[in-house]
Amino acid sequence: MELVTEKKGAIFIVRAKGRLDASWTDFFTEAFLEFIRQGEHDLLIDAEGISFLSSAGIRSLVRIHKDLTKLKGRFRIVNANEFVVNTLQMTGFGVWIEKKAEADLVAIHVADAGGDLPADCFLIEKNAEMKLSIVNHWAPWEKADGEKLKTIDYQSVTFSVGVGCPQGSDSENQTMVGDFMVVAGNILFQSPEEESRPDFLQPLENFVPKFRVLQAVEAKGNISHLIRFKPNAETQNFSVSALIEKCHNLLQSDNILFVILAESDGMVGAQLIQSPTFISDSMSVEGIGLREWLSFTGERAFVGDQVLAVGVASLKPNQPLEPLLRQTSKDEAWFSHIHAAVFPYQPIQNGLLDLQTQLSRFLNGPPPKALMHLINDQRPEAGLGQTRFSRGAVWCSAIKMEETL
Amino acid sequence: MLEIKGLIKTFFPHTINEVKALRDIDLTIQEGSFTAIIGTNGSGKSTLLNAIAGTFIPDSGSILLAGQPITFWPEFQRAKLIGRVFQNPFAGTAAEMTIAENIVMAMRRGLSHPLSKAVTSKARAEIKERVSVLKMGLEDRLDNPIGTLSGGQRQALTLLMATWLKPKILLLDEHTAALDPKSAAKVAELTKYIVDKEKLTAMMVTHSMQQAVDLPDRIVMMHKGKIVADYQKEHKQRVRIPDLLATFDRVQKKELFDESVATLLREQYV
Repeated sequence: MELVTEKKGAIFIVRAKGRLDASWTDFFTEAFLEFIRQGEHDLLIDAEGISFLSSAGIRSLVRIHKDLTKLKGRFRIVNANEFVVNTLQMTGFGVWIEKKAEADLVAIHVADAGGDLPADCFLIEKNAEMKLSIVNHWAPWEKADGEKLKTIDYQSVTFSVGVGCPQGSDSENQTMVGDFMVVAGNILFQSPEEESRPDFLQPLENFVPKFRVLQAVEAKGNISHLIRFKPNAETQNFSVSALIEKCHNLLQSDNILFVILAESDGMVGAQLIQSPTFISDSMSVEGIGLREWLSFTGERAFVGDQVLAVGVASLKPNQPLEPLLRQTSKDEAWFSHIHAAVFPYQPIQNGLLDLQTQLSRFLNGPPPKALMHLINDQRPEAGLGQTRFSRGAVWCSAIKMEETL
Repeated sequence: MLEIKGLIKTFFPHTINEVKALRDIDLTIQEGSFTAIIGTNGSGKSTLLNAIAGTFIPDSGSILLAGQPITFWPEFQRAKLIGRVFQNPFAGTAAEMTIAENIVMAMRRGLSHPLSKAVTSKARAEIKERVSVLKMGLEDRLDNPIGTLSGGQRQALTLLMATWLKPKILLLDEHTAALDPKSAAKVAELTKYIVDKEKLTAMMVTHSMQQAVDLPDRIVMMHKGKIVADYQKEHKQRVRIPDLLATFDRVQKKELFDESVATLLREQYV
């Protein structure tokens, strides 16, 4: 089996030559799933060279079609020989066969750009913005007072990053304070144990997730814009600060709330592995002793996985936000606080994306593998730099400050 | 039961090649339990098995096996209590001797009767019955030299020989690592079958996470001569390959967490 590809406008043409039978279906399926992963969701198979199609081959086509349907993509077959056409028609898959000549199929993709917006930017709600609040009852590495945990109900318009614990008994609260993030009312959290897995609380019907918060930056409101990004000839991947800059250019705001859903090209982050409520008055978390409290990725981790990140960024943070933000990159002016959850890779559709739909899809799919506080590793020589993404989506909104809670 | 306390072994001490192979190991293996020892290369897994088998005498610490203080026993003396299977399928058998002769040696371990009278018809019948458990058709080839068998067949026979007299402990040192995938799976399956059937106390060094999760009822993870994780009872039941890989990852990352990382995180984590 030989596959030759060509891109015409938005259509990705694959010229296949050989027998599509049990011996070749694994190769064929994997090749097409990779095309889909690369963002090619309008697939046209030129089947002129396919001499035979078995039931195993049809199963492979069904799998590709199913994946594309989930992503609202298109799947068509042209130039198939009589045997292939008959096989597909008799098995009920004749709908895939396109009779028009290939040239007629080529169309230029026009994104729904929402007026004067740049390509791949979408207006979701005009004039939508966020209000920002702060909970700050702890600063690393002071003793954390478990009595100061503040219980917060997370409505569907809430986004947050911080440290806290799920509602449990008081004794549990003392031991379970770890990193958490809230995306549109969905809470994802990591218990502060090295062997624990990330967990989440999802709003379902009348259930409104609550969390006990020690320290957090919180934004409430609606998302105004969506930006899609993917690699091109100049840019192979996108740093966190580059994505923040894209949001800034679009929103023209110095304070931004953003949610990233994207394929990782290397995560750099840290995670609480012991509850800060265990820090005692007599204890000082000095030097290398910090490794008993935080784990660090130590390398660019989780390449190829899908990441859901939420963050707040500001060009000129003032009190009370300033103590909770850190410089996003060494050479840029942005300060931010970002938490990210890592999921096994699942493709996401091109174009306009609904955040709630995607959240539901990921939270009801394979469980998250990790949750971390993103770090800008600017150590000389050994520094890993920022987290980078290869392709995905950023939802964003301008934010304004509110009172301290 | 095996009880190891404060076991320390340093190879080439006070030289440029000094290796602290075992660093104060405390480990108790309950009778009838099957424990996998996993860890990175050079973590001390095989050294621990060799310390139990008596390949060397430890610098300090004690080893108690079935109530007997074997710490200073020579290797040959411990062989009466210990069954061993090595990585090399050719290490546990004599290639020129027949299957029956090899097994008879295992049957008569610790006795001094000459082999010429050993392969009796009674012994042959017993050998045939027990070899048939392997389901490799070897019961019909008892007079073939063992050197004519494949690696997987030889390793299966070695396993059978090592457990023939029900040792106080069975030590398996990466005993499937040199086999092709199909033979490795077969020998792993046989290992589980024999250990369960004979209610053996066993320790298995392996690099196969799948074997570590599937076969034993306890997993001990070593790193740089220390035990860094111990999964047993209900903790073992929930552990899966990604959990083991994550633990390896954590252990290695903790080593990379130096002063520069501490300084970075002190500035950046908020």
